[in-house]
Amino acid sequence: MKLSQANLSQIYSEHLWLEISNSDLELARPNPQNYSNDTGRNYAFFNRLCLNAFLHWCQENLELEPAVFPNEEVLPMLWEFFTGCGINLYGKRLVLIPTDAIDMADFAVPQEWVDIPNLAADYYLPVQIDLENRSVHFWGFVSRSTLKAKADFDSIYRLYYVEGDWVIPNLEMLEGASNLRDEKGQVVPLTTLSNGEAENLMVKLSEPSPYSPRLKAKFEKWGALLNESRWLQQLYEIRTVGFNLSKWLDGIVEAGWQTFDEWLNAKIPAFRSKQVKGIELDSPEKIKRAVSQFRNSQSEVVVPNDIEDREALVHLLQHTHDETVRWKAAEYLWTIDPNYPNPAIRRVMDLGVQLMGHPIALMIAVLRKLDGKIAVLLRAYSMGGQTKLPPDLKLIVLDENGDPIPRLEAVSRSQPLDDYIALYFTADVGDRFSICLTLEDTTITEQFVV
Amino acid sequence: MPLEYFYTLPCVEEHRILWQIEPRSRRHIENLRQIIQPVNYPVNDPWEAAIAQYLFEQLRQHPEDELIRKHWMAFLLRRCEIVAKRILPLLGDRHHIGFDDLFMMASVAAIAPVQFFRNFDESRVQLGFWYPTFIRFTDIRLRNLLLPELRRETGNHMFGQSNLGLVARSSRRRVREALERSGYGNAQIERYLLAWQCFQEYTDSVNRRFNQFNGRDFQNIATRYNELNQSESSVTGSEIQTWLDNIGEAIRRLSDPPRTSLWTGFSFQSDEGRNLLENIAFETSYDEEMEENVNRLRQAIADVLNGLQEIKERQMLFLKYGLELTQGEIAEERGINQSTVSRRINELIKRILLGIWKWFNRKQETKYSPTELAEIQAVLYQDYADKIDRFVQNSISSVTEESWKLLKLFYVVKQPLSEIGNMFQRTEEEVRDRLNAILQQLCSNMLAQIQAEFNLELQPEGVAFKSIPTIVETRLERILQYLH
Repeated sequence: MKLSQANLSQIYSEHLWLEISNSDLELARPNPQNYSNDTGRNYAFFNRLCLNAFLHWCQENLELEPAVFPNEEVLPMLWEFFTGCGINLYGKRLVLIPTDAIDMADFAVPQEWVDIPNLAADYYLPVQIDLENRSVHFWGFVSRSTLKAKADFDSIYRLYYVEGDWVIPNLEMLEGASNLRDEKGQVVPLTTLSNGEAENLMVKLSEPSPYSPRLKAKFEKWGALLNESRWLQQLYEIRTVGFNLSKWLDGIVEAGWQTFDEWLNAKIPAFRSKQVKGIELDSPEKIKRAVSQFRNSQSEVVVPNDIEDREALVHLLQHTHDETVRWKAAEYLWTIDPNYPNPAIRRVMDLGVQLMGHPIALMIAVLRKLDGKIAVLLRAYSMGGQTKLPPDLKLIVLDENGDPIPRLEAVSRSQPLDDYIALYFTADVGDRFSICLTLEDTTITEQFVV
Repeated sequence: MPLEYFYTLPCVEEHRILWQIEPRSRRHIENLRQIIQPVNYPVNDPWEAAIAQYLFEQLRQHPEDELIRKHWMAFLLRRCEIVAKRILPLLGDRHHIGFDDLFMMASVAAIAPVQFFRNFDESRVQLGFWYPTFIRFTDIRLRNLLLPELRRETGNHMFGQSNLGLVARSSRRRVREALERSGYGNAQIERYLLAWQCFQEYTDSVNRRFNQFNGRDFQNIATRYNELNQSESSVTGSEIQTWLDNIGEAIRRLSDPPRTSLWTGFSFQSDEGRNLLENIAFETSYDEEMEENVNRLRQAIADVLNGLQEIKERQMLFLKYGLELTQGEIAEERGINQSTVSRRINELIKRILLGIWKWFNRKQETKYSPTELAEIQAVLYQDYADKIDRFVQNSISSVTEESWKLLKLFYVVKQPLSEIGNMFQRTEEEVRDRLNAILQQLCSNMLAQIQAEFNLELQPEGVAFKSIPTIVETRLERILQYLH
């Protein structure tokens, strides 16, 4: 037979042990769109679980409603970057630090909660979260001054490791926290960033990455940026609101996206032959024949006879209701004359992470339709000198709640192997969606707003 | 704790521990007793507190000294026994853990006393109560070390199944300690710790469990490692995988050392080699002013505790620090809200602190530090533990001579029931019944003393009432040894 959680809470009775229900787990799950990567989603999940449990316990047992710090809107933004929940209680600021370690030898506090003046707290509380046994275990607290004096600072990961010996195990003491002497100590002010410095820093920190960007800049700069709530908010939005596709049509493209030609030249020179789906377009005669056949292959749009091939293609892609026709016209145009003013903009991003060892690039093309809606084309290509995609790579579009949109899923084949897989759809300006690329059990998600 | 706790070592049998005297250590302690002044604050044995403090200073100054280390191993093993005895009844009966298991789990800590006490420093003792604070630090640390082992028994399958599972769910300190104990050098430990951190960061960044990781995942961890550690030559994914496996193996060895090697670590060497420390005369300095301060402090505590006018306040402190109930349990016992219990206890603690400051002639402050609070709580726990010891002692004194002998044979000499039966010409069953009856008598006597001292009638089915038999039984062996 096993020991129960109740036994543990008897043995460690000065600690606070709370149970987690299925609904607690559900409530803690973040909307995937609120975070740019799984690191942020994991932080959000564990922190929300811990925060909700603590707040509920305070309400039930102390008849108190502690205030979330900085506030309910900003705290979840911090989880995009690092772990920890701020709470104001009895006139003191506490930071809960969730961890899934099973021992109490130490716990790690991100430097942001300690050395950024606007975030620094009076006390830090380690919290063990055990999902298997469905429990949240608060095992004590440590003051900031003890932390500064005794913790082992890891300069690579910028974490203060506080050994369990310094943790005061009696949480009940915090109920008299208003009588506790100030043990926050002095917080050294950080330098102030100019607007220009902040903007440059944000460009650097907004590059997509599977990890938090917190280690990409020196702490003095990073801390100064987060110390200003407007910049924190701006950086969060850049990273999570997603790439703004409507802006691409106005010529504004975020860092990290290349033009298709730049990407193609750099990565896959073999693709440079001028053809679309096997139809060669490398001489004026071949182009004329191909465009003429294309015009005649559809009857929906009447194309004036007196316009030249490239204008005919623009007319087609603007007037058709058939998305295959629209994107075929766009692709003819991109291939025939890459510099021709094309209403369809396409960009490619190297996703930077390998899916089971396969580097993948994502191409997105957008064009504004006559009714004001935006047509979107998505393609996943292989990179790293490989021309074919691995089999069973899935390209899925998720709605703003993170749910898959029916029929918007493409899967690469094993026989024959695909050069790319593609999806297309139409959206309203302002719509939010995510693109999910999955191979076996590895997934990459990128977010967009139309 | 009596002084012999510094010079006896355990001999573990299945359900009991017999303690054997180590002659050289005993001689050392007896010598110290001749030359060290007892402390003058309220603890049961002022000699013990003074010698403990002296030995602790020696451990700090001479961490390699064999004799000093052995004293602390002996001390820690005794605390392990006490902690194991306190925990055992709380485990209920639906598990496989025995007293010997708990004792063995905890006693891993005793192998390295210097390491164990590394973080006990003067900053913890702000009001002068060194020994109660030290004992509390020791017991809390031992209990904390037991948690991962106890968690294993809650069916946490992630833990203990694979080396990677151990790596994923261990703290950095535990990883470092495991590597140190396994004999890795500093440079390699630093590399391993960074690899461990990269692994933790990577695990957070992918939406799947580490037990599904394959070669490419380790390659991604290696890429991160190389990015962050540009000062050294780069590592490969397979190297990272091997490192993590080594870390897991080291943690496994730390938490579950082979028992034979554990006991080798504790064995006293038979040679009577010359020890420098034994021959250094320890000169105690007698500081009258300090003595006066200590006396005033002692008086302050006693006055504050005795001066509590309200019987309800004294009851509250007894339930909290004597029976060690949680605020929720006290609320249930007394039929009041938990927030009321919390408020009253905080007020009481504040008054005790104010009383101490007054005796110190210290400026009256309205705020206090958690360290001072923790120290006061350690004193209260110690004070009430001593009080309960006296209750148990009084109870034992009230039983018949035959009962007293029976208790001593069972709890101190640890004779099997059948042998005791032979001595008293009774069956094993009869001896067991008799022991149970004596225990019940001791508990009733305890309850009567609590009633007399605190005017406190415990709820018959309440948690306080139910805790009495455990409190009595866990103290019997220790108290019977010294009762004549």
